[in-house]
Order: sequence, then structure tokens, then C-alpha cells
Amino acid sequence: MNPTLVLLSPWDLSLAACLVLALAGLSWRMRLGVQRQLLVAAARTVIQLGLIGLVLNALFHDLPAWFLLPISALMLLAAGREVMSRQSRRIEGGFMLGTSAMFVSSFSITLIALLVVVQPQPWYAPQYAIPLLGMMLGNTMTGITVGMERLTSSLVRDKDLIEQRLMLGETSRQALDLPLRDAARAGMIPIINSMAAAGIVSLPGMMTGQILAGSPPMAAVSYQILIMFMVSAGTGFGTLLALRMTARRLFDERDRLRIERLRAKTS
Amino acid sequence: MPHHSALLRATDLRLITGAHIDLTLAAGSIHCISGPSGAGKTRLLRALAELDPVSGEIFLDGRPSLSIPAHAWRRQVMLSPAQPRWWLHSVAAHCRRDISASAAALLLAANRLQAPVEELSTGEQARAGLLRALSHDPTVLLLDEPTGALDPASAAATEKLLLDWLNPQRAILWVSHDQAQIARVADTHSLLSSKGLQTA
Repeated sequence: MNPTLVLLSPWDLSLAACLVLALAGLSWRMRLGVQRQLLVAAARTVIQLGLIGLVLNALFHDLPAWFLLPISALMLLAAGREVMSRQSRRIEGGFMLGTSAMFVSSFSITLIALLVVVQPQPWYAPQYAIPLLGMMLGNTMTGITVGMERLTSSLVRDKDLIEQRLMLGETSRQALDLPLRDAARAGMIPIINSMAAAGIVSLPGMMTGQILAGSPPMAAVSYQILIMFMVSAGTGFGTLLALRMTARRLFDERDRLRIERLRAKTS
Repeated sequence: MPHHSALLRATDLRLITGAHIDLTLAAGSIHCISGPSGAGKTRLLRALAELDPVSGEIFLDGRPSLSIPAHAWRRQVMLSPAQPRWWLHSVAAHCRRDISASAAALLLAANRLQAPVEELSTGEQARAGLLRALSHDPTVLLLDEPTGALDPASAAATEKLLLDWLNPQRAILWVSHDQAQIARVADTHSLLSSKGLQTA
């Protein structure tokens, strides 16, 4: 154990939790209506991170390597569910769509990172594979969520315009070029911004965590750069793929816009 | 009226209103459709342009629609909607070729074609939308109340332009509420109701 490491006690964490509670109280008083979501999200943070801590602990020490498979599958499915639950419209077959786009981009880029860049022994060593995959999935999920939401809302808003372009003999791909580009940009801007601001405006969370936990700063920095490059590639490719698949889902074999495949969620 | 071959033919279309449609549009002719609001006139045009899925078959010059890629079908069987939409800066930017001559025939000054589209009035946009459709050289034109938003002078100019555009290789399916207009332009006329089309 690194001698500079200051371990946090449950008491320290509950002090931080009081701040979240105070924010929830303010949200209640100002009728912002986000207090419930805030508290549920905070509770989920504690439960989910606690569980993953236990799992990682077990993985690093006792469990066989094949446990990676069910755990990464579980992470993927949870991310896929999260993408769908954050959409304001339900897309028929949307879960498979977001999940498969995340699978292709996150898993392939994590594999590249493990096999080519980091090269742990063995390459699937859980203490590398699981955190890398988690970073990839988390960010790709955000990009896909934002991009899909933007695409579906502009399809609903600009249905007449897109159909007008179809009437003039354009293919669905041509008729969708503007909303698709716009949605791809929306999905990628956050990660581009966070790369641009890294180190000046913000200290990335992972690096901060590593440094707080006692890693040498330059080691934390080089890992952070690796993560950011991977994450932006994964987010970009994953978002483009998910958007392309969403677009295909919303047009049929005769290139007709089938907006009824999107349904507003009740509530 | 001389006999022409069927340019556009639809068999056994079923609209969402329940209407059951069999339709033949002869080459070189104008067929007008009228009917109460909600009878499905726009839906019929959308079905023929393959914008809405419907059961039944549509043929252009004897070829079934499914044998032609959808975008190529719509380029030939072109719907010009009552309210055209725009996504580029000017009307001219949306057109396949220079339309200033036909714009003049529709009492639209050439500089209006270069102006930002949102500066055009509803009536100007309606005429510009028609010109845009014509600039793509369709075979069959599906018109949804092309003169609904126009003053009498521009409406008359629009009728004349469309009659001049027609030739033995082309045809027009024209939705109109105006009985006098139908009497002026139609070779054939039918009424659409929830049952289907009836010859008027």
C-alpha cells in the first residue's frame, strides 16, 4: 500500500452525502422536481460502485478469468438499458440497436487497448480489462444517448421537411444528411470539449482519483491521455454507428419515413 | 377526348380511411379529384408517391412500383404538396435548373428566387414549390390544391403553366376544391369518399 494513501471512512462519505441531501432539499423548495431523480441517482452510485468494488476485489484475487465474460455482458446490457431509458421517445427495437452499437465500438476499442497499447499479462487481466471497458461503455453510452435523442427529436420536428426531400426524389440517406450530421455533432461535442479542456479547466475524474489514491502524477496523466483518445474514438464510432442504425430503423424498405416507430413515452 | 394508354394505374389500394381505390390516369391527361375534407385526398396522393405504406399495387407505364427503387419512383411520380418545405437558402438553390422563365410565367420576379425562402409569402412559396417540382422533370405530377393559397391572377397563370407543361408522355393528378377550375382543366374528374373514388 502506498504510504501517501489517505483512506476514506464511511463518516467522510456521509459528510459528502449531506451536500447531496442539501441540494435535494433546495430542489424540493424551489420545485425543480429533480430531487427524486437526484437521490435515486446518488443511491445508485453508492450501490453500483459498492457492488463493482466487491466484484473487482474478488476478480483481482480469487475468481477465474472467464468471469470477465458475464461481467462485461452485464455491463453492456446495463449501458444499453440506460441509453433507452434516457430517450424521450421509445424506438421499436431500440435496445438492440443501442446495445449493438456500443458492443461493436466499446469492445473493439478496449480489445485494441489491451492487446496493442497496455499489453498486460495476460491481456485479459481483469484489473485492466474491467476498468477500461467501464470507461469506454460509460462515455460511449453518453454519446449514443445524446445523439439518438437529437436525431429522433429532429425527425419528429422536421418530418414534413424530410418527406419533402423524399418527394423530390432523394434517398433516405440524402434526406437525412442534415439531422444526422447535427445529431453526430451533438453526440461527440461533450468528449471533444472535455479533451480540449482537460488539464486547464478540468482535471479528469479518473486521473484525479488515481492521484488522490497515491499514483505518481505522470503515470496518471499518461493513462488519462490513453483513456481520452480511446474514449473519443469509441464515442465517435459508436455514435455514428448507432445513428446510422437508428436512421435505418426509422425508414422502411421503400425509403418511407416511419415516424410511428417512435412513440412518446407516457409520463 | 382522344384515347390514351394508362400512364399511372393503381389497383386495390386501401387508404387508412377505409377507401378502396382503383385508379387509372391516362397519358397526356389531367384527372381531378375532389371530395370533403378528411376523405383522404392527400393520403391518396401520398400513397401514390409511396410516402405511406398501403396495400395494393401501383404501376407506372405498366411497371410495378416495387420494380423501381423508391427514390426513382418518387422522382417520376412526384408529389407537390399544398405547403412546400425548404431546407436551403433560396428557392433557386432547391431547383435542378434555372427556372426564371417559368417563374415569370407565374408572376414571380426573378429576384424572389434568390431571396431567403422565409421572406416569401405563402402564395409565393406555393408557386415556387410547384416550379421546384417541375424542375425535377417528373413524369406524373401529383398536385395537392396547387392554387389553394393563390389570388385569381396567379391561379390562372398556374393553370396555364400546367396545361402547357402537359404533353402525351406526362399526366397530372390534381386535387382541387374549385368546381370552376375542375371544369377548366380536367379531362376526367372523380369524387373521393370513405368508400372510394366515384366518377363525377
